[in-house]
Amino acid sequence: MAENFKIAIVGAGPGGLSAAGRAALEGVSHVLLESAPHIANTIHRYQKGKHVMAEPPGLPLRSSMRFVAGRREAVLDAWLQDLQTLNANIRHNAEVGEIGGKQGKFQLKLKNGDTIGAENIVLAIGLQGNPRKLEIEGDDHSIVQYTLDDPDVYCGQNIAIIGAGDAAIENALALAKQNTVYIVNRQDEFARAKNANRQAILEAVQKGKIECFYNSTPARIESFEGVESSATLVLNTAQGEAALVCNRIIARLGAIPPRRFVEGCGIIFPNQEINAVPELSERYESNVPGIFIIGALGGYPLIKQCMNQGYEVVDYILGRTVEPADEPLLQAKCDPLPGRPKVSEVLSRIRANVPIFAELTTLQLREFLLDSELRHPKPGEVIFERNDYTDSFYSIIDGEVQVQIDAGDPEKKITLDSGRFFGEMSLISGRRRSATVRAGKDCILLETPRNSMNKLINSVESVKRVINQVFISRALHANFSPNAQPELVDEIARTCIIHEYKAGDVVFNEGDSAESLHLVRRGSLTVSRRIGEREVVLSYVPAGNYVGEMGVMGGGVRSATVKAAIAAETIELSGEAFELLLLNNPELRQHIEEQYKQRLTQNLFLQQQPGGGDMISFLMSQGVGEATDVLLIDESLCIRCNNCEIACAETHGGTSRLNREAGPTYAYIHIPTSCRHCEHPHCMKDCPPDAIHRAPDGEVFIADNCIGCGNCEKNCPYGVIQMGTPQERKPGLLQWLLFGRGPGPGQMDASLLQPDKSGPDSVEKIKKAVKCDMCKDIKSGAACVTACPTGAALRISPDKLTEYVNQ
Amino acid sequence: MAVSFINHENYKHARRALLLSVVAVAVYIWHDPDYPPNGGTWLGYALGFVSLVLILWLMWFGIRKRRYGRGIGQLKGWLSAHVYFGLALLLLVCLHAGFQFGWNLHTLAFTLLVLEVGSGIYGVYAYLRYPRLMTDNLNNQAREVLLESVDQIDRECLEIAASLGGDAPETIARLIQRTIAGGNAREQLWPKIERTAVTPELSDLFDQIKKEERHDKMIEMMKTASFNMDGLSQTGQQFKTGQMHKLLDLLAQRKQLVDKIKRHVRYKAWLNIWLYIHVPLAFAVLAAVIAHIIAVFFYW
Repeated sequence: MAENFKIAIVGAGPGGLSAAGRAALEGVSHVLLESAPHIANTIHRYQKGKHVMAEPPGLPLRSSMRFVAGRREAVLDAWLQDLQTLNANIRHNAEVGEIGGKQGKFQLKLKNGDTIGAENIVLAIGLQGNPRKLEIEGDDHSIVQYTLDDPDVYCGQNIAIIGAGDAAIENALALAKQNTVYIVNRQDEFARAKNANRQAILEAVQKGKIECFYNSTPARIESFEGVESSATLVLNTAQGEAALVCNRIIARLGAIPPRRFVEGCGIIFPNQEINAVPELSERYESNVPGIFIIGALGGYPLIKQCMNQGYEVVDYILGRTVEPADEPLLQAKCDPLPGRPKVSEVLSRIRANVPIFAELTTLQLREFLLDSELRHPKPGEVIFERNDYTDSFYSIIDGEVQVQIDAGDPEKKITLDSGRFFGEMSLISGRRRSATVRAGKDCILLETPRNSMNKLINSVESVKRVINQVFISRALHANFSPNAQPELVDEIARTCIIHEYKAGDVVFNEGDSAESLHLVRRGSLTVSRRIGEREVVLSYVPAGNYVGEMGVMGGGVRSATVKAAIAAETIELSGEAFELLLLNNPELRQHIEEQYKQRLTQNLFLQQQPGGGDMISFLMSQGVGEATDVLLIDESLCIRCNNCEIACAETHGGTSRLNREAGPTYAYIHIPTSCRHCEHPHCMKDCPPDAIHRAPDGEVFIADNCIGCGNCEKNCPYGVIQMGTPQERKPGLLQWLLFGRGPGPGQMDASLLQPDKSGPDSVEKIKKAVKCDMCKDIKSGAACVTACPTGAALRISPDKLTEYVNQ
Repeated sequence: MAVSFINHENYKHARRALLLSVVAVAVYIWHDPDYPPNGGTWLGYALGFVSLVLILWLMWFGIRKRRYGRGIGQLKGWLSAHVYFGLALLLLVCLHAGFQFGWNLHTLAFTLLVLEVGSGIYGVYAYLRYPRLMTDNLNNQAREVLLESVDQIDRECLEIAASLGGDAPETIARLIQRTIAGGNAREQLWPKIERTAVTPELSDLFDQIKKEERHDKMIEMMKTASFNMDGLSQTGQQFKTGQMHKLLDLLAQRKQLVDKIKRHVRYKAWLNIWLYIHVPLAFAVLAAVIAHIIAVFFYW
């Protein structure tokens, strides 16, 4: 007979703990199921002593459990204590394999064979997923484990590590110091691992410190009768079966993303995007009645949000009405509007006036409003300027705005009225604003930051469709037909196709028949030709430009190969549609022909210079293709004085954000390890407090609400973000020179160089992510460039790239 | 090539410094004092004053260089002006003195200034010459990677030497220990780059191992002559010779890397050495000039 509960909570993270705490306090029968032997697995895995932050600062905490910013240990201890005090019913090592039944009669089948009955289910499983299990005969032996907390605990053991990823390698290397370690790799190389790890493991294997079984998979584990501390791991190798007697088997096979499990419960995701979030009601209920989703899985990654939702969801299940915890925050946003409307009024006004948001649930809309800002600009006020680098998205709730479509003629403008939106061009292309926008009368705008908008686009299909359609129309309008009737452009826009390319994908090949042209809307392309035996890159086409028009207008054959330099998206416009646009705009043909001539001379120039095309290829391979501003060092002028690094450290709290020596060099052009300020910054991808922003001049910077989670450091493919401790202000240069006060130029504060003491008395050093902010707060410009005595350091944007290479 | 401190803003500072020089020469030629031209005429005083201001301003460069994130313009522009006005200064001072030199304090100040500007001219030469050589030398390998590679080879050499036994470990360890990249100024500026990786010591070692092996083989053969002429003994010999060849290979690679590092250090030393003269000399010039001024005003 299975046990029955009113609420089964899956996952003992902040959300699940808070829900269990609330249920316990209310005396509701509940069970909290956790697959790990401890609580809050994600936070548990943080390094020792890591500072856990409580963002966003304005949001009040509403939970039966305590939570304040502090050390990882203190946070976890408080939760454990509260769980005990509240007498919450938690069950460890209880991984849920399957959920069946329906509201009132759910059945949770656990991996260990138990079945639990529940009326309602709260999914609070986060996004980390459960470790992939071995799934072989005998894998329930006590020597098998899937995590490794402290490698120094083990000594003199035979340990088999299964897996070839970074986690497996790091474990193997750490354990090999005191143990005999075998590593079992399904393949014949360590292809998945980071370069440094790969080299380290290959060296260790070569030296015989670790024995590696390549092309091998575990077959079964045979236990010795009456012996608990060791077993035989049988491997299938290329040469047949091999047997290893081990004291410990550590399987690091990666994690299973939770999505499949969630979908298995009947919950629908709107699309295949990785960051798609299931649709939820304002009571956190999914499309399956009785299954509630809270926390990161529902799109709320911050601890405080999770805990609040855990509290609220229990009240909702009990049929109570709760004013959401974010109500005061939202009200504060609504207050500056004329008439100080209530939050609910504003929400319904948005829904009624702005068609793209009509289909959002109240929960989505609230979340959206929480991330966004309501603006009430005076008539004539500039919302953004042409060529600004901002990337937020604006929806017009009330009133109108004027878009200045011709940079040369301020009188030429179009009016957008309520319900329309603007700013989608920069959002999608990651490039500068294409027009200046001014407020009209009675204007109320909703300004949404890039991340929230992208989340919405990826979660709600209708929003994506409408925005894409409008993007195409406006792009066609701006590029080809400023004077054509909007209806015609809209009609042509509907025939266009959006293509997505991965880096290196071919858009079209030299010699193909030319039937269409491509407008680059995101990423960038390279144009190359085969000259003799080699493929020579002739130019680089950033977002906002088009390729293939000459093939369409002229011979009908592609004269060059076009490839994606980085992940790119293009709008394909058919030849007929293009002709139609040309008919409506006789000047366009002339303009395009002129542009073509220019391109031809440039290409000829590059063809004559054998190095020119290689230089573009080199720069592209180093991520310049997605950069908006990149630091280059001309090594023929660089005197290696490191003044650039010192200047960077001196102006940014003691940590240099650039490494001059690191990075590759080609033909005296050196690309140091320094931020490229990407069009679509990889660092922004997964920032829980949304602390990474782009300033109007293009610099990507990290704001002070960084929680130091290190996601951006991991996500940056160029290794330019580090975790640093801010330093106190230094005494001036003369004070150092004459009186020896403080550290000298470029020197670190001595106290920061001492190893971190984790005793109770030591001052907590909060590490935050630091990266190049292009000296946005320094008037004279980027310190690295202004401090270069010889002019070797320079910053260029890709628009100037071809020009620069030609010099 | 990027716009460097030489052609900064289309030689703006070069043109300004040239203008200053031309005006000074013109006035000098036009000026017809009662005595031969010297520092005591109004023009002499004027040129002396301008030169003093220039000296102080040129020295300010050291401070400006370290005022990060503050101050106007790029440091590149400041260096450009520093170079061209520094050259002009030499001319101004000659005109100031009316080309009168002697064995006195005043000429000492002038001599120091000539050395100062001379070291600066070398500095410009070094800044234009060595960066390219350094890039060519390293050939896209980071310095740290080179050092690590040498370290790695060292460890492999020692392992092989240990397997050879006899004198080998000690000889190789000595060889490794003796390698110096860097060191004092002389060692940095004129590093000793060996002609070959095979030092006499090493060839001695090689000979010795060969001899030992021959000896071992004889004994082996005598022991096993009746039934195993070339089985075990052959493998033994191949092992040691093979290891020795491997060792020589590694040492040759190592030499290439070490030479690269030595050259890197040498270029870096030649790139920076002049600053050790240029900066202290600047203070010496200042001191001499102050002495010169005091002498002129109080004891003339």
